[in-house]
Amino acid sequence: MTVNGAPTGYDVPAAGGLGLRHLARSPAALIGLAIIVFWVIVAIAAPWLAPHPPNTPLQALLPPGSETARGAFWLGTDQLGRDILSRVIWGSRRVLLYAPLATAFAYAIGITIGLMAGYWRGWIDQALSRVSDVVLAFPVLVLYILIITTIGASGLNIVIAVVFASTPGVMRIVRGLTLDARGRNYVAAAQMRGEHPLAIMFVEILPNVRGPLIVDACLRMGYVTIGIGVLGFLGLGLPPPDPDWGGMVHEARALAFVFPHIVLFPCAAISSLVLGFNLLADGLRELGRQ
Amino acid sequence: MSALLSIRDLTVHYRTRRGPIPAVDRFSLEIREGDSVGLVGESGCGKSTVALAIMRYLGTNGRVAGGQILFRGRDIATLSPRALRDYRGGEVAMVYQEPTSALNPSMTAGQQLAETFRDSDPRSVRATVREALAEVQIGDPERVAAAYPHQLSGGQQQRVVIAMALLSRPKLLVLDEPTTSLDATIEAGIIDLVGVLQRRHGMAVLYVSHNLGLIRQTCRRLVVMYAGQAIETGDTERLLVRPRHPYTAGLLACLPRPNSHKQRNPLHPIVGQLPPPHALPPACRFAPRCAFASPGRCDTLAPSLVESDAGSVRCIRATEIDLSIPPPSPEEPNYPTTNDVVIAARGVRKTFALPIRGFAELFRRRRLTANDGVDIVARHGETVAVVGESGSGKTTLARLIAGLDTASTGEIVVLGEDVARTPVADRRAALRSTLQMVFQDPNDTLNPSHSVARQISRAIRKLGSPTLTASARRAEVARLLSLVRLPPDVASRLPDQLSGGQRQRVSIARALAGSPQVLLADEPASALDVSVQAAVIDLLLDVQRRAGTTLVYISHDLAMVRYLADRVYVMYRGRVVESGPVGALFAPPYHPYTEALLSAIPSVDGPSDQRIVLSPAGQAPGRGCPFAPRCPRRTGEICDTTPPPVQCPEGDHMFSCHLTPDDLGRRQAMPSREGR
Repeated sequence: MTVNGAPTGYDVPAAGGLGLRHLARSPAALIGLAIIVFWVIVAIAAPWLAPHPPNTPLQALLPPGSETARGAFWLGTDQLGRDILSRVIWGSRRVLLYAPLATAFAYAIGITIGLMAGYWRGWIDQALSRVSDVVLAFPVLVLYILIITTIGASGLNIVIAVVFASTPGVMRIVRGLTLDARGRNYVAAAQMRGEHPLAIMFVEILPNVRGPLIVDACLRMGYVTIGIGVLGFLGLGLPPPDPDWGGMVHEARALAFVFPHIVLFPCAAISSLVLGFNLLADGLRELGRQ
Repeated sequence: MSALLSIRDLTVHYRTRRGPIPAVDRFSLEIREGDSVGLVGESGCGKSTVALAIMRYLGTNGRVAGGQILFRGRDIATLSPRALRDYRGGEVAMVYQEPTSALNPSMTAGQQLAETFRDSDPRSVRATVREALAEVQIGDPERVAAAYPHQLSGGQQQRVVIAMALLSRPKLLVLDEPTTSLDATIEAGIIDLVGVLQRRHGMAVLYVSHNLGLIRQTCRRLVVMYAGQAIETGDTERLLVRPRHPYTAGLLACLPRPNSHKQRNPLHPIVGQLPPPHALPPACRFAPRCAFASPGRCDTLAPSLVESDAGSVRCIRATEIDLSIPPPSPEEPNYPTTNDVVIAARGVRKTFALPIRGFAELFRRRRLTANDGVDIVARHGETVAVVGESGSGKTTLARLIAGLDTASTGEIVVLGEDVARTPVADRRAALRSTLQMVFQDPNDTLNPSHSVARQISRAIRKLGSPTLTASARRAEVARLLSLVRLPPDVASRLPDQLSGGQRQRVSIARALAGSPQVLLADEPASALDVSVQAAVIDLLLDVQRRAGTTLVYISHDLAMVRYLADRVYVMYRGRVVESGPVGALFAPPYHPYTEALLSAIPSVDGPSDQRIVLSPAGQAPGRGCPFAPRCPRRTGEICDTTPPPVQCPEGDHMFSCHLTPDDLGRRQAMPSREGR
């Protein structure tokens, strides 16, 4: 990296500038990113990519690779005769809408309270940390089920459940990073010139802790993807008939041994997306270490 | 005597993504048995790479691209893995800069020493370990052997590392900046120890350091490196008294001398900075920074190392230039001062609550007293230095004055306003602009995420003029940068793209945004190389001259303090033990602690044979004198039980001691070191 042609000495800034050119040095990150981009394109182009309407019963339980008068069913059809390929394609939209949305909200809240707890410390930190400890003491899945069974299954409620369960984790990370950053002299310099505490938190501290946060965000997207899948599998996901990968497995679980293809493809879709997020996170972490 | 180690035309490259960069270029060195050689230069000059190459320990990206290293005539590049193991440790041992990372934190010192003799009888091993620790003058070998590294002080840790290096009786000991992270009084002890051990075992020692004063006391011969090359070699005394290379002369001119003061002798920093290894000047690598460079010759003809009786020098003009005449000083420095008191602190006390350990402490928190009744006064245009070892409370005092912490009791009056308990956020904006701080560590004094321009304009908006238009603010940024002698294109850079010295200048520019009347400088130059250090000090003094700024200079570097301070406060364990004008303080009678600090200053000239070595600070002070447990002049019971009276030998020179000025004035016969 050069600015005005001058060498910098550091190729990866400590703060974690993570441009595409840096990614190119980590195969893991590149593969992860490719998988994620693939699914994003699939989700955006679903109306053009899907060969059949996702919710229309056509012909039940066709095996993968079937050719019929109504067209080809490359991944077969399910017990209601819906094209599995089309449902997997349309299903990507849901997970790629809710997982990032929920993660983003969890981060917005987690960063804010994490910065406050870490910067102010004292009783504010004590209060926020104890509350987050309580939430973290519950298994995530139990929390999801508790929340969804209480407030009902809908897109918004899934986001609420995920935000509630993930925010304490984000807060803890941000708090730890902030505790370290607040002792830096540039923070003292900002205090010396009378910056508002919020300005110090968001302008001085936050940009310098973004590296580990980006890595964590990728990992967390993977967990949230799994979480949303599990909710669907437990029948607590989005209401039918619109396709949703976890829900597809849920509906077909009784037939899984006889017609494995119905559950196999949505499962593979979930796994690949989670794998993509994890690979990207691993790659970024490695790059950050260099 | 035969050559123990001879390095011939050593060239080392480091592989990087930009391709190989040369770190060491055709470097030659010969070390005889029992010799002591110093390798000096500023950071990035390749001196540590030479040390690592001797150990054949260059890491995965370092490669010897040319030349060879012969140990007793054997090329170490050809050693088999087994022979290499015997060579490292057995023949050559190395002591690294940071003792904390050289020791394994999960093993006791004794276990780590015993590791070398894994197969021997445990009882005899224990005895050997005890001997080894006693040999490095550790007072209580049993206790230290049973202690984990974190339970030892920095000085003790380094002694353990040295003991470990000596276990197999190496023929050559390589020390890479062994005392850089230690206090001066502890450093003095380690240096003496190495000298004693060297003579006792007849080892050769290679000392790698940036500290010329230190090298002078330990080494017979010196090699000065610059940008990967040896540029001058020779006998230490000759080289320091009559340097022949302009760079060596420049380094010496950067150091404050015992009799110099800012009023009379300005420092002469070397202009510019070390060229990066991938953009070296084609001919003489020092030419772009050299005051004696002759155009057409120095930038076209690559000088080679020319041998003579007095050593060798790499400069084509070595015989024609006269380095003994210092460059003329630009003008008679004039520091405007008045008697107006700018800062007056009285009885400042600061305690910190320690973490709770155990149930009883829930109700009675243990507290650490960082400042214990400190009085300090700073007048307009004056430089007031606060000195002491680490842990003396000097930084705490600076932070209290700055408002980054608030005092527990006492008052701190800044320009007529008591701000002892007003955190900086609650102070008046005008007061904030008036009192600014320059921090120690150039690595985190600037926010790595924001450009220089952004950080300075933020300071302009908050401290100077909040209403400036964007273009006026840009002009102001450029003006502040030129004030700290930085080119305007620095504005667009990120801190990562600047050198340590440049960062420190930016941080000074940032502090100057509101034209402060007081600058608190917390060791602003201690993390920098000597030439850069001189430039930063020079800059601070320049600011002071122009604006009559009061400078509160926190430091452990007494040589520099003697050079730039008008008045000095010596702190020990949170108390001021001695204070006064610089002339009175640096002449007898001294407080015994000041005396020890002064004797530990490594100096490049003048006699320095007598040094007071203090035992490491250990026991908590009782009711008496805080310095009593370490005091070489302790008189008796009274020192431990009664607080020492404040004495005033003359003017505003005062110190707290049970001894009278007359007692203290008589120089105590100090134990002289073993013959040099």
